[in-house]
Amino acid sequence: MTLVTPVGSTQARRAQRAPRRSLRLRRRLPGWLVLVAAAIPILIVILGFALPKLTGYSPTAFVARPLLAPSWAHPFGTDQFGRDIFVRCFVASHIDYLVAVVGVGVASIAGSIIGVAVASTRVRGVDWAVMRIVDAVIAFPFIVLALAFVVVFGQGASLLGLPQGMPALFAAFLLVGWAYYARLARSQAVSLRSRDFVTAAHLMGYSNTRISLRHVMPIVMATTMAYAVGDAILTVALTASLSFLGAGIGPPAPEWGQMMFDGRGLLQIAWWMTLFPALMLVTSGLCLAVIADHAIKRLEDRA
Amino acid sequence: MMTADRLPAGGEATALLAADKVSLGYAGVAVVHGVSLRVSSGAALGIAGESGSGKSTLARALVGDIFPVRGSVTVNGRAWKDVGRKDPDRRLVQMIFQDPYSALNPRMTARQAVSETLHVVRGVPRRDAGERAGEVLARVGLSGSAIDARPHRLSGGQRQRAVIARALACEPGVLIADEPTSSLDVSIQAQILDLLVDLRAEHGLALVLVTHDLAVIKHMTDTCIVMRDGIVVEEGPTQQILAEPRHDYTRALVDAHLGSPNSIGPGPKR
Amino acid sequence: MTRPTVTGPTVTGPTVTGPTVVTPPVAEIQGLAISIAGREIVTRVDLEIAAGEGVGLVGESGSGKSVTCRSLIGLLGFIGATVTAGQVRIGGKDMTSASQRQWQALRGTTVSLVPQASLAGLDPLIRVGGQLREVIRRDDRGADPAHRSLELLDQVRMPDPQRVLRAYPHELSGGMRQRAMIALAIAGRPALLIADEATTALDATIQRSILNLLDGLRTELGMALLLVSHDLAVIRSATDRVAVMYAGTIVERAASSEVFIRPRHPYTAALTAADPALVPRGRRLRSLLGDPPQPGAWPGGCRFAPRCGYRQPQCEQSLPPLIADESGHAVACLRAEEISL
Repeated sequence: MTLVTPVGSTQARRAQRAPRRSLRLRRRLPGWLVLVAAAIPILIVILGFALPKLTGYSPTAFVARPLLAPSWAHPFGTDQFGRDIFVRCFVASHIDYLVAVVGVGVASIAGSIIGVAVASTRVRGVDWAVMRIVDAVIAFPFIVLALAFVVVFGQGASLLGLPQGMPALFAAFLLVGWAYYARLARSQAVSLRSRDFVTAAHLMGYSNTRISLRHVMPIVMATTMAYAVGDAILTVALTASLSFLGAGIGPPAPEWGQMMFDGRGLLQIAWWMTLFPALMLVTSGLCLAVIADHAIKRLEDRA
Repeated sequence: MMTADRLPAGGEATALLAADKVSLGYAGVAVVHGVSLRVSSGAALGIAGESGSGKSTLARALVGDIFPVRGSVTVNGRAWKDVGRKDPDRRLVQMIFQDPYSALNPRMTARQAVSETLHVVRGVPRRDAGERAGEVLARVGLSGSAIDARPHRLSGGQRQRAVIARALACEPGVLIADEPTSSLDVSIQAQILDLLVDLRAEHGLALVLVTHDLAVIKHMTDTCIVMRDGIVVEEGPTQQILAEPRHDYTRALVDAHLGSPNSIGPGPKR
Repeated sequence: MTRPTVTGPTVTGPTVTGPTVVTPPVAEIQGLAISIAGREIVTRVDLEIAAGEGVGLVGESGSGKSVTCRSLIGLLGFIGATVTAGQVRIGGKDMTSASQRQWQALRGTTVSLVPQASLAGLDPLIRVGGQLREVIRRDDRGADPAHRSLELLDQVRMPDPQRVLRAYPHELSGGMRQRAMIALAIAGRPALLIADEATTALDATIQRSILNLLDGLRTELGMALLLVSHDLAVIRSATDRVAVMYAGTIVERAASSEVFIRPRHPYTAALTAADPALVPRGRRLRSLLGDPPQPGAWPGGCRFAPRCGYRQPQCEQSLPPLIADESGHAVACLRAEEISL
């Protein structure tokens, strides 16, 4: 099942599922909730910068005895090397969020451009060919493909001082992620093609480039961006999963999945090693979900 | 079945827009067959027909959106196929659509849309376009906050005015209106029709009104053609056709639309 | 927004027969107010439909006409609407707060609804004959389904009834689908048939024949007809009386033959003046400025005042009551007596 589906079909499915009792106007999430949901990840990132300075603990240094339970000195306890988990949790957010933002951001933009280009091209066969490639990419289980890329690019590769394994992850998300957006963008572009304002543009002599770039693209991007936020949640989860599988961000960089991997054998004696990174992951996911929901509803209100 | 050989709105005036034995089809199915008509400057031609009559398809051919399988559609004597994108004749024929919301870019305000048209089609420099757009929009009755609002905030009537303004910004010679008021309330329909009448008078625009509503045809057009199943069954001066329809189908249409006594007098005095 | 307490004498339709026998009207709405999600959609509506009568409900968007007719068949809950004041009576029985169960007993047999013609009006997966039989089994128990189906199709003048029985809805033309929906609606021999924009999406010639059909059924079955439409011509040709709605209230109510020739409310006059069928060639349509107000944005006082050429300060004070003259022609306008339209 793809992560992203055309707006139209979501609406259609929602309409079919409307309760017989009453067709209430779909309610928006309360404004304050959306604000809170937007603020939390920002807060987490800020703390990720501030905490090492405030506490004096580096996320990679051994600062205390290993496997200490949560206490005032170490609110989330320490891991098997004596690193403070509290600081590590928040610093880890930078890595996960960065992969999500860059991976999803670039994939969505690249995919949208490809999708719109393919929809408006007059060159025969291009549309068909590209869409078959898209089908192939989407058909593969994402994790398998991502793992393959990591193997190819090598975990050891380190680029620009980024933690080990990050370039491989970027590559994985970009090379796979674009396809979903290309499909979404293309179907949007095709349906927009038949709208009267595009006909009007043709009648007035607008160039195809102008129509694609200034009219179709912004509308398509509005949709893809809304879904990209939702996609980000999954990307964060996938990064953690890949790291958990040993194919993502390598040690000693803190990363939630990596931390949960470390803690899995010690659940009975050091449950805090697994719980807190998991909580961070879930919280991030929830916040992103709320933001994505709000963005999509705003989009549908306008459409 | 075909009646007069003489084409409506005919005579010696050069036709701005003409169709000559046009046939249109999709995938081997003929939707329009052998239709001819002429539109001279300032004329008001009606194309009447019910759903499936091919009138909308014909309208698309008249604006050059689709090309005929047989026959030709010419603007200023030239076939649409020969009119390039940047050709000055391209802007001569513009269209007003049935669904005003679909006819507007949902992310552009009326001012932005009209500015773009002025800039691209009329070469108005960008910095002046915004203000000129405001003037064009004022002419169609849109002003104030409505100009800078996105389409989803506008009423149906306002949206249709924006569509008309955009078409007007091209300074066309012919306006093809495809069911321009079918999706609007009665009182709004009246506003839009009055607006079209005014614009025609001000700019000498020719109007081709494509609709199933004979009452609108009666009110707005000088000559008309009646279509059914892709062919013209009757054509001629509107008043004459509606008063004394010769073809059975026309008669049925007239009865259905204007049948009951509409001899109610000249309307309220104000 | 305060609602005025004054309500003028309401028009009683031709229901009082003799000094001792009074037949209750088939349907009656009194002082009805309906809200959706806290917003008032319909205010203080009074309407009576006598047995066998043809009544029209005319209005533009935001007028509340669809919601009003939904109240007569208990479908308010489905659109999230609730009655906040007034009464709805069907055949003399108060149904204002009736349960769905109680409404179910009336639907099809006392009150029936024919919605706007569309593919969605009929179940796309079941053949027409099957849908007919299902309704017959429910609303007309005694009848033999096969026989009654054909009888109904004949009543609605369906061409080629045998083929139609075996056909799926998408295989029929728009007009035939509408006839099928009417057949379903009259299977239970209802006393009142509500046609909500039933002819709107159809071609003019088909519209005419469907209207003739509805009119004919009225006489044949002695059924009352409530015709809801935005199209004046449709209303004029198929009803005896009409109520004109604007922004949730009735602004004028009179005989159909009267109201469009001699309207007494400025809005009705404007509607008539705006109809291209009625305005001679060459004359402007005398259009109204502005748009009809939407629920939630209703002005205080007379809701038509902002667009009315006859308004005066008093008009903005309170909602004018609907007052009838001797002939039964009712208007909701403070200046009805003074102005000549």
